[in-house]
Amino acid sequence: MSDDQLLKSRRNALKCMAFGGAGTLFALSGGVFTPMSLASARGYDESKEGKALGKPLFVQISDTHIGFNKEANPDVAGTLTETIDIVNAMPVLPALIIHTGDITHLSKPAEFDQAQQLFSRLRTTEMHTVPGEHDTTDATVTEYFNRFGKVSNNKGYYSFDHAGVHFIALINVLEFKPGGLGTLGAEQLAWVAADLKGRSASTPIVVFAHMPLWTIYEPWGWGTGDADQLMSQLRRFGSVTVLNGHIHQIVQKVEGNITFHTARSTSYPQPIAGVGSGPGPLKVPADQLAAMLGITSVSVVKHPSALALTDTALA
Amino acid sequence: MNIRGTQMLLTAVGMVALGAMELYTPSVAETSDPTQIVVKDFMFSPTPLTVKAGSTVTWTNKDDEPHTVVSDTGVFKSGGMDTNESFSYKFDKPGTYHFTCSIHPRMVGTVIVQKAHESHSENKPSHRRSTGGRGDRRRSVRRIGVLRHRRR
Repeated sequence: MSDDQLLKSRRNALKCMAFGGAGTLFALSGGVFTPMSLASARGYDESKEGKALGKPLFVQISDTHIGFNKEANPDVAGTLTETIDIVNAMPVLPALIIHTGDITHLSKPAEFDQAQQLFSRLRTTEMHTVPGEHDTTDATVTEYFNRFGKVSNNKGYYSFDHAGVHFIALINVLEFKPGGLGTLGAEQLAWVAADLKGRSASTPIVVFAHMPLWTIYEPWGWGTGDADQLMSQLRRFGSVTVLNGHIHQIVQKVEGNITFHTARSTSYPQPIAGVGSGPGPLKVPADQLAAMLGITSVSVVKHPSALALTDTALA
Repeated sequence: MNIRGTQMLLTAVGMVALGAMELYTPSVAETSDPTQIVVKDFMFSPTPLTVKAGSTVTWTNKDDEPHTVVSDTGVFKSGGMDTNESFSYKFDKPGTYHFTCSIHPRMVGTVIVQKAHESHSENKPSHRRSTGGRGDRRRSVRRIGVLRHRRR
């Protein structure tokens, strides 16, 4: 084998390692998921296979929980760094990063500062965030908004357009009802209605919020009480992708043209719904941890109305 | 309350009592501390907790997951309590105070504050069971060593 060939095969092997593991690629076309081979998820490059994946639109990072230091993962900064390395190593960089909340574990200024320092290593410069309930536990609920509130005028919800896709960021962690689920609230729902008014049904929509926007498991609060009022507004669109975090594991559902997806955490896994006393950190053997953490990348496949979701584990 | 919960509660009560000497009365701390609420396994216990007006109630988180304590009427609100962190609030006015964990809203609890001159309802035998099997605690003290050993 020549040096050149060796280098090439080594590069491919490294690429395999970076994207290997438990990821599954789904192409979303007209609202229907089509599983594709994992091998093609390795990279968006100039090969025929790479081109078929389309242009990587964004990568979803979730539940980084900076500040967590318990047995389930004593080094959350380390696993976030690995995550960032995976993103930075993508042959074609995604245009955006979307963080679906729980940036920090306890809303402490030092935790936010450390998270922002780590994020600054991302080669993708544009990052959009929504807060998780762990980001809003400070008594004044100001630490998150002081850093990330400008885009939403400290409301927590906002929208923007990129590559023909309309993105809607929502907050569902501020209005908890005792014993209940997350809440969007009348004001935010009215804002969504105004935001979507007059928009063509062929516009691909990506909605993201921290807590699941459909009820996955009510006893643990894995859902949003008034999400139905949001979905009724989204149903007329041909391609809607709803992304959430919060539950630290992948759960998917397709309902008409709406695809729901929750992302893995980069910090620690959580139990499957209803297993154990509550949704706390799940302790797993160290060699299994990386396979239970990861990111989701979403790309535009061929036509802007088709989005593909790829989940990548850290190992 | 199950044995494990009782064990955790006792451990927590001991630790908190040591950290707050003004609340520590050796004669009762062995079996109970009527102003402590332990947050463990995504539950507040005991609940309801009955105290006299003027009492300071302390919540201590014994989970690996952070919790908060937020009054339904906005009377008190803790920040995020990490493992082994505590929050205290002094109840001056008699009344019934419901609270929740804002991170896990299914977690709910109640503090009942009685007028200072009334006797503690906790001292009445009829109330013992509803505050978490207080009568069982002394018996379970002996079991703790065995249980801990088994868990390791």
